[in-house]
Amino acid sequence: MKILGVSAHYHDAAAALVVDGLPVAAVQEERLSRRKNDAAFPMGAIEWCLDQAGLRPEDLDAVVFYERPMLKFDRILTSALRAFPHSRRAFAHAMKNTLGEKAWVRGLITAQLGVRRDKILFTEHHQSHAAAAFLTAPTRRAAILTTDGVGEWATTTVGRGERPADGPTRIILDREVRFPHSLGMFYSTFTAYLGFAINEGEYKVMGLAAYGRPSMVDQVRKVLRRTPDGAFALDLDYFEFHTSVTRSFSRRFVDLFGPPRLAHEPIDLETAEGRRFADIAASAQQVLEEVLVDLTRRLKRETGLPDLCLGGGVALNGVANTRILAESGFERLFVPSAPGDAGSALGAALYADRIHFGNPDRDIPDHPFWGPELDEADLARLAGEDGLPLQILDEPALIDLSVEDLAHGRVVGWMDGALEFGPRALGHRSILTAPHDLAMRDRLNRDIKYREEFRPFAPVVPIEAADRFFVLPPGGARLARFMSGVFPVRAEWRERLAAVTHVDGTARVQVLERDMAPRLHDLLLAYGRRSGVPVLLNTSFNLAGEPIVNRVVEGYSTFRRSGIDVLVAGRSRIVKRAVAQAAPREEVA
Amino acid sequence: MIRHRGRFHRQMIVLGSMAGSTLELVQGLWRHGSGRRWLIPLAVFLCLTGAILVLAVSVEALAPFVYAIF
Repeated sequence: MKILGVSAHYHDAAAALVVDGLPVAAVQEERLSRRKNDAAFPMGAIEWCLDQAGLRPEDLDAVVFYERPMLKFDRILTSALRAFPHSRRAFAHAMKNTLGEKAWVRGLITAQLGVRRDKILFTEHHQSHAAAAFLTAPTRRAAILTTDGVGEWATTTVGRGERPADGPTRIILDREVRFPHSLGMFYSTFTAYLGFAINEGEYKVMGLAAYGRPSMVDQVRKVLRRTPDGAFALDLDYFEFHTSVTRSFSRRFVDLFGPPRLAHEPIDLETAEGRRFADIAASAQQVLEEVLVDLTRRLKRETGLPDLCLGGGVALNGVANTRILAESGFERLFVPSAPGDAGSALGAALYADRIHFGNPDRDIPDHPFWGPELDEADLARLAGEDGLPLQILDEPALIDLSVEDLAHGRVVGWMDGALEFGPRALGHRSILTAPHDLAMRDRLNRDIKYREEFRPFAPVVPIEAADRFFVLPPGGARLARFMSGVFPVRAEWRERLAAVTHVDGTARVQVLERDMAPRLHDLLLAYGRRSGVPVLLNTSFNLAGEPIVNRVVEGYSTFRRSGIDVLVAGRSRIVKRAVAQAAPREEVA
Repeated sequence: MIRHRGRFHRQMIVLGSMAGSTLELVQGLWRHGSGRRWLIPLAVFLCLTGAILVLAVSVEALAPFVYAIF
């Protein structure tokens, strides 16, 4: 069967194509449209997926949308009426926003793709998250926890999944917490309060939390209460996201925590105000972790299963994931490379294949590289137009030269194979540097990424060497496969890994198995032979405010506009003229 | 390869699908029981409003008249 999954309209639109039970293509719309977090109906992504498989829309057996728009409309309408008259402005805005296009997804898919109405299916939002987490994980039975801002009504679900070799695949979501009580909205409200963009700045809150002390957890527990049934509830007096389109938190929230940070104000951690914001971030983070740990402990008691699959945007919180692994009792934790709404496109397609159509289960290849492949010829053309000398090298020579670049403190743009599906660069569209000193971190922040200095950079390490540098608990290497956990850097290596060690001595490490990205794995081992430390700083290949690069032309453009010294695309390599002509730099490795 | 339709054609298809989607919404509200059934007239009214908005987008000549209603 050929099934297309689609997610769209809120954030991170994406399309994924499943053929005979296996994904063949999946890509976020932003990577093609070049608009960060593009939520528009993903025509570019759909077209690419179909082209990749050589299909026309009429060849599809089903098109599955990742949520039920009419159930969502029901929730928006009901919530607005419950909060009336406070919500009158939000009501008008929500109706205009929803009734223009978002509510009519069946018609939209028919109009855009020309597929018959009876081929268009819908899954529930959290079913899609659960399927994306469970059906892509290398486990036969697992407990499932999905948690995000909101889907239709559910904001958190718990359940279990089974995919026996000789029977039907099942995903059963037993219980749910409903809007407006939402861990995602809770964290996003603190994100907005701290002056960051919702759905974009949550990483920054997590990074900032490491600089603070959780001195305000009592206040945070007032806004996020525990309920006798083991779940949680927001005290809505502190929030306005359910009644307002412009503000997430109420006056009472400000009375409790103090004045919010304005978006343009820098966070100076030397000042009392800067430390207050860091303390609030640390307190919100701690309370979020406590709730998740309690939910997962209970789930472990109920299911008795060794594995847990996490889905939904909150599963991107690596610090919380690590605590869940350490304290919930689950032995292994699986977080897909795209646990958020983009991954739901794949989840919806897999859910339809296994559960709606009852097709036999198949193991999904355990990697995130479902996007467009690199076309190296583009780099030759672009470099030729600009008169930059291009080298096309065999594999050993490319690795040797790249090791020399890294050892001399150069910043390498690294493009290889197919694009990652999900928000993280996992070795195919990465910026790589030596991880040894803080000057490199500052240079990346200043010349390339243009981002806040408190945000950490992540390391990548081959699995064979991971334990030597990082304190990985049992199951830690699995969690770090897609950079979904944060682990302590061993004390004796923190100085040598200063650029990737966060202020609290941790790192959001990617543990790389050779099968997943052989060329990067070889580079890490070669760099280890050269420097004694087979670890590199790995950050996403993009500039601030732009999506991760997809094609060579975007990598080349980023290379030209930033402080990247060397661009490697497949076996092709170019160096900035100034770098090529400069005297050799002092070695940093 | 996707055969791209013109905007008017696409909007007409969306418009044609609205009755089915509205029915789906009404069925959902009805199944919830008496506590939510009172919402049905409002939901249908809003869906009709949505249909008029889609019509205004499809037929630009009608747009000023439609927006004048609001």
